[in-house]
Amino acid sequence: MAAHDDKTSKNRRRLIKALSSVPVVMTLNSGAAASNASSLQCARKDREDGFYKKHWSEVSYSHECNTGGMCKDSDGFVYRKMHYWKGSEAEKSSSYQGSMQCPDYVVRGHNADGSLVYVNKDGGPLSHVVRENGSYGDSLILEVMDGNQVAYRIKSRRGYGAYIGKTDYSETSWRTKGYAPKTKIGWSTEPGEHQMIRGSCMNSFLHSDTKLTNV
Amino acid sequence: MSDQSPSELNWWRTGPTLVTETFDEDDVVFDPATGETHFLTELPALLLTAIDRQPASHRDIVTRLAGAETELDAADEARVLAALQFLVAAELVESAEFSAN
Repeated sequence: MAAHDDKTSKNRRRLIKALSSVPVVMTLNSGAAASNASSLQCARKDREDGFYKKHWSEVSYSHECNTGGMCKDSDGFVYRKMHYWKGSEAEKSSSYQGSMQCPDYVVRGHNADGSLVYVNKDGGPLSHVVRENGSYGDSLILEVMDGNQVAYRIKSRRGYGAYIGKTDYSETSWRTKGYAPKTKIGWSTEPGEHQMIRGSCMNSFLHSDTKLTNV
Repeated sequence: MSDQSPSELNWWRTGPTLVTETFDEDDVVFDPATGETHFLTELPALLLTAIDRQPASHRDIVTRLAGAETELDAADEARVLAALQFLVAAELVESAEFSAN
């Protein structure tokens, strides 16, 4: 009971503080610019298509994660923790001059053909993006437009993305074209070949250093 | 969207469990129902923690969160309702007018 009272008291202080701020909800669209369907719908379709669905299991975990960063939520869906970038005008590099507004969020995703795309928080693609390593391990995104160079130093943050579907997360791997279970079934010559979720399914919040290889 | 005044609405959430992580100034919420990631400031994030499947008025939500003795003035109530409307717009929360029964 005392613990409940403490929590209520703490929440009351948080509420009073929160009431002094402007309520804002910003939404990052599913699948960034590349995907028309949500990653979950896409994953579900993949899961339910054909005979491969027999691979999927209904084992329930509660936000457990394996060493490869694959996690399973309380509804049984597997996801992977990933990174996204958030920038601000204050983080704008002084090395370059320009008038462009720094995008609030930059997410690296994949087009349907597997090629990389950088998108802003509205899902719009950023053109002419070149990524370089920052001096202190931060990500530096250099955007070139109309001959002017504007640089933003943007720290990566951990987010969530790439919902996979219901499967055994101990049998997961990342391949250059997306997620695939490690277990080979049928006549596949490559592990998990037919279970692979296509690039258009990927709702990627990828750190620049993340390598899409087996974990 | 209902035509009712927000103060006459009930609020609830029926979707799957949200995946939430708190950073310095934001709560980042991944909604597996839509595949969308939402960045919430403190007030909507706090209110979201007190919203469940049981429809509740905004006053009930504040009571769940901060206790029955918490009183809000008109301006604070307006802020709470605005935050709830943000959550509805993001499809994290549903709303409808009070039921008579």
